Amino acid sequence: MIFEGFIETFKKLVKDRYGLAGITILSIMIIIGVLAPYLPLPDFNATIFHRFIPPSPDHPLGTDYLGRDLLSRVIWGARISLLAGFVAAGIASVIGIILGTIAGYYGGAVDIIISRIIEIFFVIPTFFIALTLAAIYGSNIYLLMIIIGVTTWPVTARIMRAQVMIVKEFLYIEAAKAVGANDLRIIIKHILPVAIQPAIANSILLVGNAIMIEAGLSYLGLGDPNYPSWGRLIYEGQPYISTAWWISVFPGIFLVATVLGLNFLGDALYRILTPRISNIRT
Amino acid sequence: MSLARYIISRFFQSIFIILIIIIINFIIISSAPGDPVQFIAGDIAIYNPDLAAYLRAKWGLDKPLYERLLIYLTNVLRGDLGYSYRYSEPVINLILERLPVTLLLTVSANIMAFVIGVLLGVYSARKIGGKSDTFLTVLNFFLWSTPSFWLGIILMMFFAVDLKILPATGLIDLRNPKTGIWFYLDILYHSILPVTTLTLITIPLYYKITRDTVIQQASEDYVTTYRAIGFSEDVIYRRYVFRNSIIPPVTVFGVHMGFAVAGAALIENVFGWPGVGRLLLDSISTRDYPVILGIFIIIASSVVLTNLIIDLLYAILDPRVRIEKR
Amino acid sequence: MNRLVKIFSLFLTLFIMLSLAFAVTSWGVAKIYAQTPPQGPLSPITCPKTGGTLIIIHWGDPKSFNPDSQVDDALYGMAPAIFNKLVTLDVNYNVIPDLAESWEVAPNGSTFIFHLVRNVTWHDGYPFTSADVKWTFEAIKRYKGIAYSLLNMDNLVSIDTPDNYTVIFRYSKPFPPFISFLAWYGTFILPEHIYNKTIYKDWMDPSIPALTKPVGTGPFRFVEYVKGDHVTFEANPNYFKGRPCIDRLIYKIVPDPTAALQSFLAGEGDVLNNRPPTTEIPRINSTPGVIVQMRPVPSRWYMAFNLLNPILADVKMRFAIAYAINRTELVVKAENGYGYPAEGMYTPAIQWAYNPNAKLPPYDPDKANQLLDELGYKRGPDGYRYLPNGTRLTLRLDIFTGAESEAIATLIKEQLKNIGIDVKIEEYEIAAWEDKVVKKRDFDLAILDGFQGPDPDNMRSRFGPGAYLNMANYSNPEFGKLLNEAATEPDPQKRKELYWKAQEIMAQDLPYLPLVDLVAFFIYRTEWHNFYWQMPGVEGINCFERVWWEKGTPVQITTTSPTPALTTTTITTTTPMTQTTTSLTTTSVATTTQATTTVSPAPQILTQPILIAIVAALIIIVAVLALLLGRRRR
Repeated sequence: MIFEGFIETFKKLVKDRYGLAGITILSIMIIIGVLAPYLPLPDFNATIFHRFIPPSPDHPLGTDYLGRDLLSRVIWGARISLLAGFVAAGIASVIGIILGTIAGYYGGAVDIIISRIIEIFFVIPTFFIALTLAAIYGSNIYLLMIIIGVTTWPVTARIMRAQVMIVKEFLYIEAAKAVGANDLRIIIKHILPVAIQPAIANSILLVGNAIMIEAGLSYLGLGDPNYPSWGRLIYEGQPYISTAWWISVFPGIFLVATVLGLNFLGDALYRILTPRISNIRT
Repeated sequence: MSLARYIISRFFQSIFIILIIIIINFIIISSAPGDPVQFIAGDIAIYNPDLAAYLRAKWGLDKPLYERLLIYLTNVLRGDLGYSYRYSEPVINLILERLPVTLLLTVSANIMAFVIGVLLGVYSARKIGGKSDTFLTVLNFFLWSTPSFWLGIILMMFFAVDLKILPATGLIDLRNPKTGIWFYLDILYHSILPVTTLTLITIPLYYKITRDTVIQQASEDYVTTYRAIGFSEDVIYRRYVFRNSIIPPVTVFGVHMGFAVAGAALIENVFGWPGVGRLLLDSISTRDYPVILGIFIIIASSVVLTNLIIDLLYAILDPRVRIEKR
Repeated sequence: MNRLVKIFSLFLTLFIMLSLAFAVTSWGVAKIYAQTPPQGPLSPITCPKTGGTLIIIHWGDPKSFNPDSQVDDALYGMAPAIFNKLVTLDVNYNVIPDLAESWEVAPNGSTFIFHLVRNVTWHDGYPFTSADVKWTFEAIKRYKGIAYSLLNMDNLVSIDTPDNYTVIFRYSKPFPPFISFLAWYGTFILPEHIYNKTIYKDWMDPSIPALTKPVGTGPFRFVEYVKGDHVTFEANPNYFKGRPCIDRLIYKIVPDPTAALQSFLAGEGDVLNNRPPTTEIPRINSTPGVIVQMRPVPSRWYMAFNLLNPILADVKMRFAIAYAINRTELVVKAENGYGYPAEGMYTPAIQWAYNPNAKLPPYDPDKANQLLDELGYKRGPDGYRYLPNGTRLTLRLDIFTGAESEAIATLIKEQLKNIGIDVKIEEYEIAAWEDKVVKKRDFDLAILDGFQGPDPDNMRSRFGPGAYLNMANYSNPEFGKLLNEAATEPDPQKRKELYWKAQEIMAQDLPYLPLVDLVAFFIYRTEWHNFYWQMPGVEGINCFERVWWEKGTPVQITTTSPTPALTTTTITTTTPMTQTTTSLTTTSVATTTQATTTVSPAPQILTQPILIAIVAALIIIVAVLALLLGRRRR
């Protein structure tokens, strides 16, 4: 049943102009990222070429300030940035869905506590919290994913809470309760399948958001030097922007394209999954 | 619930939230690796343990965490944000010195983005599905997906370095200090690039919500009814649809204004603006705890205050509330 | 028609709101700048031309204006404009006189006598005497100033002032590097009459006016400081070496190196203090009217091996790594050729102490591989080497944030990968780095840069047994003994021999691997002349007292000091650039004396920004809502 629903959604997505554009861009990026190790590219860290070669047949995107092939780095960057984005958004979505569901389903004191926590996150710019944590605890790509994840979940939680609060009033839920099904079963079997769609659409947008936050942190020099995420490539190229523009312009283009694809897709999903609720978004 | 009661309860909730924020931040920051005293005591090359001990006692860093937190909280409640470790100056002065610069950037950009975003959104919604709508939507998606710092770098490259028609960095022309009206025009001239960058990336926020709301309103039953009655499209839109759809963008605008105090750290960094965002960056890297905490408190208070004002305005002005009262 | 009016009124409303918000905010900005600069009468000296505003693009904000209390490299760069030391360093790191015109060292090497310049006055008119010197150094001792440990304050017995112009320092032990350290850091002479009051709890008490409005004896007087933006100084007409040739000296603060370079190239500054990306040097040099000068400095990048790590505790392993590192490649790629591959254990820039025989292992990857094979680390199929227990030979390389350290670390990672060592770069923001590497010693390899001078005694604080900064835990007792002996040896020749011996021992143990010797750049516009870079032996580092400007006013030779009447005539004939500043001057001459002595008023802007925020937010929300409600009634 879930599978059919997936197929159905996918069909609708492909019919939607933005959905199709989003899927296309995203699939290209994901394929590039997945295939990165198997492509005939020089090692992304190998400092074996001349430095500052402009885009040319040998190096389609040029080389950087240490003599590394930029094409290889940008393609590996797709892998790193997408991975970071998806993991961070995954963490945020899981936390958000769980807390949002609990708050919405149980209400009362639990709801008040969770809502207050959400409210606190809405009062301070997420980027500042992530920045403080990243600066303090060091720049490790996995740590960054976790930091971004634990600072971006409140949006999902808020959406989820509102959804669950609506759905739990439905008659068949009452019926299930009357029959004596336990809470966990009701939530998983009856509430989540109905209520989760907007949160899923939102999680796609969170991926784009996470990629942007990672890029912002990397731009401030807080990224992981072992891996060439796009944000880091822009940061590395910035000192040379007037002499070797390609170092930070190309990764920027890839970054914008990917986030654009994700936003197209997320937006289209919203429209398809939640025809009437699209203005709940915060 | 009466209005006064509502206001009071909201007010205490806000205070409570700010208090929690202070405590959480205090604990996070204090448990960070890296010793602020080492920073003041000096460069690692000429580290001086005697000075470190002296300063530790002076700033009270030798006391246990909970005691420091209590002292800090009581000070904050008295309106004292403490002294910066680094500058030996009251934190509040440091922040207030930077605020005008930050507000100049964020407030003007936010207003411009609001105006442009709402106008474009309305225009798009009226031409829904048309070529111009598609173009604007894609353009807004594009701006929404662009990192602010990258856009800033590109704009700076183009207008300041290549074309040399706009200044690259800074706030005023130090070489030829201006006076009178020219002083303000000089600031205006220097703020074109950063404000444009921030405006461009903020427009989609308003564009999207305006467009969505207008489209949604246009599909409401009353529109169909008015159409049936024979009102012209222009009248329906101008009299009813726009009027009903301006509330969401205005709300977003208000919330966004609350964040104006936080500045735009990334853009300030690109254009070398001495704003609050950069003060925060500097303070984090030098472990200037009082300043970091102070900035967080100021931001939180500003956001909470704005939200409070918006809610109150709603309570007072929202038509539904008024109808119910009648 | 009606529609047009509505659209127009909508625009008008928004325009008014926008300009209102703008006006309010920029009014706040204006308030910051609107401090009246006090300025005294000019006095002609032997400058070819006078006048002009020198703008230096500077990389950081000073933490305070007390140059002796805390390490503050940003202030160190500008302090010589305001303050003087007893002796100072010239661009070649030689000691030259400053406030002390001459000095003697007693044969025992533990007593130092300084003869001060006479008729020096502080910026507020007070005479400068030996009491100021005595107070400054006692304060350094009492408040544990920066120079406390550099100057071995624990061994300082007394500071005597037999008369107003003589100061005698007595140490309990011979202390040969005293004069060098005295000329270096944290030893600026402070005004006792301002700092030494019982109401202040220490010399960083926030109520001391001089912390925000410094008073010194230097060539320039403080005018204003806008945090994060600029610091302005003006020529001190009563400077004891004569009035500086330029009228104003402005430090424009731009922390970001790229932004700073753009700003310099756009003509917004005359000197670039930020170290630009080295790839940009040729381009800067080819810019018309701009010159880049460079010279070697006693600063270098070096790598620490953590000797607590059993793998690195083996000297063979350390040599293997040293053989594998191509220091020339580091210079070429990370420094773009502007630097020298390190050859010896100490910096060659301090020539007398540098032992050319204490050589580092040359680049020889075959030798490195051979050593690793001998150690029993076999290569696996993936090209990496494995420990006997089957885990991969992995070392963490801890660096702090920065473009150069990243470039060097990346190159080292690649070079060590070639001999089968897997290097993981761990990058931290500097406070966290220091905590982890220096304090907790939790690292395998670490790279850092540092100033190795002005005296080789610096080695004691970097590499000496038990030293805080000795993160490698290097503790060869013989090495420590040599350094301690050298620190108290009065005979220069014997000192040199001790240091040479110490370097040889260190080269055998190799607890640290020097990587790159740095060069310093001095980047300026050619319309300015006589920078401290061109005046070794005459002018101290970071001092701009002798700079003059081609476009300034030619000086008619006047030998007598001018009357106030002369002031105005000189001013009116200067270039338009200075006129804006001088127009302020003529009106404020009457208040000058008060302005310098009174405490700066508390910031007036305190309540404004809150007001601005509230006003801006309220106006807009209310205006929009009012607009809507107004329409509804119709």
